[in-house]
Amino acid sequence: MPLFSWIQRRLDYGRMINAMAHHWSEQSYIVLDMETTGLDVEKDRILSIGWVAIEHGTIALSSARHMYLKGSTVDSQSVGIHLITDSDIETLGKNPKKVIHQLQRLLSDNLLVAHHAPIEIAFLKKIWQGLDMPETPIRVIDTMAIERVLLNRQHHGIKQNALRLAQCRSRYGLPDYTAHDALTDALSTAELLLGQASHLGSNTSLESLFRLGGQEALLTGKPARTD
Amino acid sequence: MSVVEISEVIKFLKHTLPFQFLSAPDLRSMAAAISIQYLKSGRVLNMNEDSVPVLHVIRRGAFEIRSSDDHLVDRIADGECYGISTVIENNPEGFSVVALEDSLVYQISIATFQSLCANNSQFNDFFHQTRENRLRKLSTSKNEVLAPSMQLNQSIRSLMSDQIVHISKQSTVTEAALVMTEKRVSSIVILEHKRLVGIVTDRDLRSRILAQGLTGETLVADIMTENPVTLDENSLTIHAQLLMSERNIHHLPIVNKHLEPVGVLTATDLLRSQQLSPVLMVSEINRQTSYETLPDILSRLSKLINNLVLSEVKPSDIGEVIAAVADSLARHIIKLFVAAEGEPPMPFNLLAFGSQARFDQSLGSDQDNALMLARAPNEDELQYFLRLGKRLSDVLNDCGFDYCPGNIMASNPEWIMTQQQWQQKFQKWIDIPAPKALLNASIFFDIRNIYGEEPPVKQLQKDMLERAKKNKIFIATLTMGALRRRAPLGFFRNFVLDRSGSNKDQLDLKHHGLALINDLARIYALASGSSETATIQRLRASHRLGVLPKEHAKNLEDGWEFLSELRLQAQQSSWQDSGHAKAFMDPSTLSDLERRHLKSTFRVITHAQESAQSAFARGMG
Repeated sequence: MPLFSWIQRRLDYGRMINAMAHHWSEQSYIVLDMETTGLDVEKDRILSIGWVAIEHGTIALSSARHMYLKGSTVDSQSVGIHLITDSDIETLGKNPKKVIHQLQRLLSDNLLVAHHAPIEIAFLKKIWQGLDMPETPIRVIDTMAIERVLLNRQHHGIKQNALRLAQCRSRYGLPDYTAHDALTDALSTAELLLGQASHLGSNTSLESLFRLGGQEALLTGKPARTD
Repeated sequence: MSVVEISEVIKFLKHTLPFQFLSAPDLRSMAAAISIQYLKSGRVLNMNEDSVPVLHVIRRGAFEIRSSDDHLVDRIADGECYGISTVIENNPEGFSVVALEDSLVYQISIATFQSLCANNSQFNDFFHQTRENRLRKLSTSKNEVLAPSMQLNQSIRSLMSDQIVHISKQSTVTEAALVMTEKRVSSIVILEHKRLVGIVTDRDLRSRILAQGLTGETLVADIMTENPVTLDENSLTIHAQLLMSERNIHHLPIVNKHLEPVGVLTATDLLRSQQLSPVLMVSEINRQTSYETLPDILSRLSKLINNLVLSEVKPSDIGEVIAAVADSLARHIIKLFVAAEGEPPMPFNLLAFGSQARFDQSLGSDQDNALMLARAPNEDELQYFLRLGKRLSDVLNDCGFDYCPGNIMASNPEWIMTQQQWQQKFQKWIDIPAPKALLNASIFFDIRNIYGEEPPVKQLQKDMLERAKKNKIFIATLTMGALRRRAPLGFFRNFVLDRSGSNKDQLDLKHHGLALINDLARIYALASGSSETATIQRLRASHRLGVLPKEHAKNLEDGWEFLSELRLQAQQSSWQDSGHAKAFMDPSTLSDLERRHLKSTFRVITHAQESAQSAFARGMG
């Protein structure tokens, strides 16, 4: 059984590579954002995760998820009761293991998208190890990396803050959002990716997006080797 | 499973008609079923191509709806919907839409749409009404003149060629000609340290080299047009056209904010983009050699405005177009006068007041103008200017800009004054503000230079603004004068009670609506020391300068555009029926939505008046 699922994952991975030459919209994406207690992967923890899927080049809000992690990884006081809405209450108390398993299934055939992806990748790696999740090779697209390349190409020189999500969005005529929870930021990032892909031209392939801001990563359940 | 709350989407829908009619649970489940699409400017969507009909809500952006035979049906933006015909009736009209800007769009499936319609009659009615309005607009646009593809609002960047063909000053004209031939261009720019220093055109090679018998060894520096006229890359087509037509140039280098050239716009580029345009009218005016032929050209202004209205050009932009035509007309009359009667004995300015100064003229607007002379004239010199003023006001009247009933015209010796006399006149109005006198004088505070050197008028205006801003009593008196007219909210109450249409009351859009906003904008501009004259620009400037709260600025701007649109429509139909452009409106011709809009506009005006009173005239009411 483990061998079978390993083969299955490899097959999925192979399909993903084949998709590289196709139009970017033929691929499905999971756009993800996390709220954490800070930026230090060693010390800080994930408070909430929000994600939304891009399918056929459009954002499907039916896929949106917003979860506050409960239990060992989060103490409810630091979430702050004011952040929690009615609908959160039902999802609140999600066992992180369930949430992450759901995510793991999605990541096996969707590309992960994030704005400044290294943070998300680092926290995912940490949680993968903490929960001893099955090994998952992922492909990631970083909207910030794409924007950096595009700005550099225009020889504008990148001003301070120019790569922040809100600043990037304004370059594509996207509206300002006032809320900054994980789901809103995931949605913001997803809209930014649509803007970037359309501006790259109507024939943009997944490969050209990946060349601008893509990377591979391996999420693994084994503890990190110490060299 | 619980529905995830997507806060930004919900927040937007809650403030958008007709989604605000939906209950919170309906709204939430609808939001959860939305797909979001991003469309780059220029994308064309054929609404019949989707296999499953979809309703589209514009979250941010702008679109044009066109019929299958390419008539403009509507221009829509944030919060408005397209695809309505498709979800209601499978789009029998074959509408298609074009993205005018980069746009973010929410898609709602027909299944979701139908279940919401079934549960909520307000929601259902809204879409049927919107659809009817669009069909009505479509039939008007087909019966009237064909709506031209108006590109006044278009940025010149989309028309210019962004290929910069350049050469250095030290090159020979033969080298320049070779480069131009190779690149297939009709002009070449000369750069020094990336900055534009000159331009050479095909025509220059002909007239300045061949016709003069010069050789190909001549240096570019010797024949180029130095420091040519340029235009900023963010300008609109209309600016480029006016500039080229007035200066009679065919190549216009376009520069960025660092004054580095980014492209060249040619007269051919413009012509190609626009078959029917106000600019043709301006250039036709400028070609006339006698006064007699001018009225004939101006008789087409009504049709032109009609076209602009049908093309749904914003009223404030239509105002700019009319001002550009009227300004050119006045300048050309003066040019013809000077050609016939000789050079003026001294420099002078033609000043425009009131609607022309505010870029707010329409069909049948009165002329309000005057002269400002460089020095005191002797008797002969005065006679020259009186003849000029008489000629000007007569020809303007023949061209459809009626004589001013208050005789504020350049033909009136009372309004031919030196700069110093004008300054004293303003000084008197400001320092000794008599309410009655000020009421009649208020149009003088909308002032614009039409002919002559700019600096004396700027100086006059600056002096006036400094004086006005400092004088609280003057601002208070002006405010009290403006507040004597109130928005006719009561009119509406009667109207709402009697919807059968037997109420014959007509609404005077100008005096009961627009004038009130113009007055407020003038007060705020003077109180903030802004030199803007157009109402919209005044509102924006007063907000920028911190005198007018954003909410009022935005609401008044929306209200002004809306009332102007109604006024233009009313004038247009009255002009066609009777030859008089009356700005009266029969309220029974309004749709429910327009009626609500009008009512809320009157409420906005009333609020703004109240807050002007407490800001500038506290305790005087």
